[in-house]
Amino acid sequence: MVTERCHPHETLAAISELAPGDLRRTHLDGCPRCRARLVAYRAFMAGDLPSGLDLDPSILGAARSQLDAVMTREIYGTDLLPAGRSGLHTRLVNLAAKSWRPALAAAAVLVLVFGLKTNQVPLNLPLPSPGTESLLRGTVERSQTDYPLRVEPGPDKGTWHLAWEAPERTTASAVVLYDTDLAEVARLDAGEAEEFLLQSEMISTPQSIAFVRVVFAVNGDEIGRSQARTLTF
Amino acid sequence: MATESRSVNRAEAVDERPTHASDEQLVALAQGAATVAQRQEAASRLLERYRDRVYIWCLKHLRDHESALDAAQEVLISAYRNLASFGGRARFSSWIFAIARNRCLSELRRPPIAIDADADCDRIPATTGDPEQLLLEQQGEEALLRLITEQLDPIEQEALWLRCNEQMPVDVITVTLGIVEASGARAVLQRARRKLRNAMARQANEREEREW
Repeated sequence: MVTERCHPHETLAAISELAPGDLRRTHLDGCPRCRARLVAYRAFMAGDLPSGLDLDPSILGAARSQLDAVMTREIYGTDLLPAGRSGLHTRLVNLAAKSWRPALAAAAVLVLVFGLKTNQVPLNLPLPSPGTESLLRGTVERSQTDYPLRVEPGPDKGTWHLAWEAPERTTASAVVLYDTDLAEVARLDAGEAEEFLLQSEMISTPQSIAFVRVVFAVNGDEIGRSQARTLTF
Repeated sequence: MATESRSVNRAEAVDERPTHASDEQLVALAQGAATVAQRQEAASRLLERYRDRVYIWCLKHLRDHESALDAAQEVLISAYRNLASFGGRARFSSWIFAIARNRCLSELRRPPIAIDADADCDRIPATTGDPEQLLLEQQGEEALLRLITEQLDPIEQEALWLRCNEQMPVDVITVTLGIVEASGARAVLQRARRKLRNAMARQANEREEREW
């Protein structure tokens, strides 16, 4: 039921994890405004680009470099705690930052040029720990495409049917589950299959799951990944 | 004062290497680590985690690299400048999301506001400070919420609200909600609009009959 008192959107993610009987959770479940805000927050955390939006990786690399340069200037030119530190110390820090600005600008240009050439690591979700060494060394080519992933309710309560088409060379796929902060919660081996029946019993904390993605590997080296999808139990 | 000393204590308790720290630990370090260098390093690490998300969010909404870059820059700088006052009552991720969302909405809501052909979202945000007007608008929104909840199925509700209230582009809604219909969220929005229009017409008829 919709009430006049919707939750501040900062609290929605936490409320969504409360037990179903909780009044705040009940409001969230019934209120389109709160649910939409939560969906928007989760989309922000997933950080995926819509497939129709064509973004050259070099543009993203350039954006990263520019934002890094701006933030470096902002952060290393100031201190967060002005009280008690606004005297000589801060002036010296600012002076040092100013004198380094030409060098920072030159470094930003170098980062930009380097980033345009070498930006091969895709966005957001962390790389899996096993088998990434050769990927990072560049001996395995990683796909820049996020492969489609279908997520549908499974035959029983607490189950989800996942289906995907793996890249051609794939020898094994893994279903990776993340919480709302995109921390990896579980990684389930899907073998050579291109579908998976996900059951809540497979995970120790199913209520913490917010996103799912499939990663594809050749002999342990990740070569691609699927789109991230929202998924809750 | 008490808050500051608590922050310092929390900051001292966490891992010295901010790379492995949680958001909360980085916030504590950025607010209360012993040296300027530690605070700067923690803030830098923390904001770097959200740099891509903020830029992509802005790009999704503003649809232009330069505008998205400007907006993302403002969001990150604003987050940094206000980090000292971040109380930690909500997650840092929710907090920076709120900044990014508000920044994009204010950009998108700059006048003139065009009526969107994809949905019935002719509710223009309040531009007046008149309390009576604000109350009327709020009551209108509550009535609209009730109508949406009663008449639309959950996916239509979310699609409509994301479009009208969050200003989310139609293709982003399609992906975000995992809509598999051929026309994506556009078809869902049109269906929702049709249902709402019919419901509003029914309500108007009932009102007229009562008045007669």
